[in-house]
Amino acid sequence: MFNRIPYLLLLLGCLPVVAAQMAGEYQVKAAMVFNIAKFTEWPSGVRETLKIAVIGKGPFSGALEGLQGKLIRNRSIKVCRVESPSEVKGCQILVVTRSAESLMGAIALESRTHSVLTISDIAGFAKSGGCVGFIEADGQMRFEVNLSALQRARIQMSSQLLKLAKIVREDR
Amino acid sequence: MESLFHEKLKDIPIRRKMMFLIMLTCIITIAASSLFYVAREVYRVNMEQQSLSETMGGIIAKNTESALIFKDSKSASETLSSLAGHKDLLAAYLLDDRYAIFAKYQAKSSVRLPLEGLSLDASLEERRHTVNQIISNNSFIFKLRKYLSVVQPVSLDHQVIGYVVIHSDLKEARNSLFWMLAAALLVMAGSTLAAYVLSSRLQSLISRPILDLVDTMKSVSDTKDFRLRASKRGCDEIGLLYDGFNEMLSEIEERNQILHKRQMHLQQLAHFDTLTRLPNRTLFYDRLNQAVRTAERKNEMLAIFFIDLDHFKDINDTRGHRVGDLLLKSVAKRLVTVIRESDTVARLGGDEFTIFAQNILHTENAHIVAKKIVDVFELPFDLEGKKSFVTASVGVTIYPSDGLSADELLKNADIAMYSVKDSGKNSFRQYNQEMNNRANERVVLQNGLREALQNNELVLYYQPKVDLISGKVSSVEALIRWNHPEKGLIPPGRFIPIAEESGLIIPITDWVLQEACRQAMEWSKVGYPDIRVAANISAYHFKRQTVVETVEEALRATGLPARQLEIELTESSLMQNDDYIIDALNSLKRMGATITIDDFGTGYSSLSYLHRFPVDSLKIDRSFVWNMTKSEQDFALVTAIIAMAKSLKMNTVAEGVETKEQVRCLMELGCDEMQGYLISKPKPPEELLKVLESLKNGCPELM
Repeated sequence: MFNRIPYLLLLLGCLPVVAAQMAGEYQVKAAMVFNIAKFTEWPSGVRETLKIAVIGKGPFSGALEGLQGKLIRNRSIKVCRVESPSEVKGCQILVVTRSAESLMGAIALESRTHSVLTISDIAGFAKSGGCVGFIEADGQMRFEVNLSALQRARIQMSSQLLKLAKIVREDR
Repeated sequence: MESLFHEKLKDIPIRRKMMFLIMLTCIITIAASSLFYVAREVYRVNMEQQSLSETMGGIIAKNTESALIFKDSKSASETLSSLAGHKDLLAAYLLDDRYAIFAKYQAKSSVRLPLEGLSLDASLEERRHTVNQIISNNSFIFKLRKYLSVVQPVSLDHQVIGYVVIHSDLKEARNSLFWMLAAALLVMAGSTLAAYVLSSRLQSLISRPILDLVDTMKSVSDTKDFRLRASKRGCDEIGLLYDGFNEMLSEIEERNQILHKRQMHLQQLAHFDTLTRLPNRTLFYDRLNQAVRTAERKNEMLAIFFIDLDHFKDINDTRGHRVGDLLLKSVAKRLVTVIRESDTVARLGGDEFTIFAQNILHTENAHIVAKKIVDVFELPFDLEGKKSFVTASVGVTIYPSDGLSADELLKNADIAMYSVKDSGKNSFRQYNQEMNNRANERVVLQNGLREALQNNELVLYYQPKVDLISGKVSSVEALIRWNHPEKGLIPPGRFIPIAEESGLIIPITDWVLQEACRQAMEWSKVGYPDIRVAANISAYHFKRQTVVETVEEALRATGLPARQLEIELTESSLMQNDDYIIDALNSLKRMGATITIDDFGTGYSSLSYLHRFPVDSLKIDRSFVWNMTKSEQDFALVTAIIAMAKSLKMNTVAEGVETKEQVRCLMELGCDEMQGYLISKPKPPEELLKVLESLKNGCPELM
């Protein structure tokens, strides 16, 4: 059993991470979205599919397409694009690309209303009301977490994850 | 296994066996329980450590999932370092899914751990192999090892994303195991010692009574003393064994005693006479044989005395066997007083006693002893309040002159004794060759007597009795002779005792009566119708109590009138059975027969009995008649007898008259009849007829 697991891991779990290192920044970010999803729980739970909505255009959204069909806790990932934050109802994660930075206010509102975990690589995203924001530190990809935003959206994030994250407060 | 124990243990003492068994059982039990507890402790310690390590691994795994996923080795290292407090922890590793060390924590330790041995550029395969080795090394829990390892996968969402490897030190466990073992060994040693002490005490509970029993058994079998008993200590099975053993001993003892008594009794029966308690024939022969051998070796002389009571049969018959037995007992007592310690008195049987005296220096000494024996009978015997005089005849033989063997000596002593009997009894004689000849003759006569009766060798001679007043023959006495084909005419004195001994006297007497009566009838026919015939009837016949029948038969068969028959009997016959004799004589008298007492005066009984019997005449014994002209005493006796007879109204007959002087004397005294050579010798019937003829007109000697 133990003999086989490494191969399996090679083929499945680790592939995106490894690929990300190879394939560049957005591949890594997409893998991080996937891994964060693993440590997150939503108030109404997740039904058959875990929906990831992407708002805005750019390479990030393309990289997220690669997550389509992957399994998290036996639930398959469905990636869909949205034009407006109002469409996020029924989705668990909303990835905000840089091109959608202008919609921040609505996004925060919808996130709170529909318990959607918002993730973005926009700088200061967490401080400005988003849930998780990617940052780069010491040449490594890290992330910031806005606990208030998570609380508002009634989303729980594993303490393990939080231990790795940089906790930030909103600017008021 | 059991038979092996039997083989090895069977010969060692029971106490060792029991100690061995008790100790063996103790040691096995203690060892087994110690082993169990030690093993259980090892298992427990291991399992504790194992589960502790697994718990730690689980916590680590749970807390490093995100760090692994997000490649945050710093965070992982922090998590691992939280284990620092655990004193048993050697090292903790976090491996990624490719078995590469992602983070680690290592306590200070000298132990070389497998993952440390991996070089940095080790291949995936090498790393995987190392991890698998760690897993397999840990699989056997009791294996002696320095540390315990736990490998736990870190998985997230069904995917293994890394491994936690924890190595824990087993030093504590080993230490505790060591102390445990030491304590167990100590306890075992202590227990073994206690078991030894206890078993050496406790085994005696069982072995002691058994050993005691064995001791008792040994001493019984050594000493053959069946009175010994084992004293039991309890009522268990061994107690039962004791009881059984003691019962067996009692049984044996009892049987032994009975056996001993019986043996003694048999010994007594076999060797001693039950009546007199003297040695019997067997024992006497034994001792005599021994004495003869001793005498032979020492060149000594030995005297043997053969004692036979005179007239014992008469006492037995007249006074009963009980009195006879009393007499024998008294005789035995007296005989014992005569002899020395070394001599032996024995009762051979009946009224025969024997004595032998060892180391006789002179023949005279033997004669002195014999005289003493005869003198023992001088004093009367007190038999049931009645004093009775009994005499004995003693035959003496001396070794070596009269015989060389016990048999010969006894046989010759017997012969000598018979010789005394024949010549007047109440005396002793030493054996000589002539006696033997006579004894031999006796045997020859005894053998021939029966045939003599059948072959008509017995004949009757007749001797007349003459009336002293008329001078005529009043009766004729029939006297028996044995016309032996070789020895010629044998007088009755030599064969009548033999006939009495053998019982032939009965048919002989019958024959005499018949023949005498027949002869008398014959004489009646030829002109002598008034002559009586006198026949002697022995005492033996009166004892048989058939005298009347015998006489009647003879008279009936011959037709002789009873008045022509005269019955002669001796004084001793009268003394035997008073009542029968009186009845018988009265019967004969009524029939008409004449009754005469023969040999009167020789008996030793009193005269007082005489008047009780219907006696017609007394025949004065020849010894008085012979001497009456020479001895005043005998003359006085004859005078007295005749006087007494007259006063009792009895006739007197003098026998053995040989001289005219005697005839004259008898006539003067008033004797009625006479008989003797002076008139006629006993003669055969045909010759007697001539005598009768010549005396028909009176006896010339009386004229």
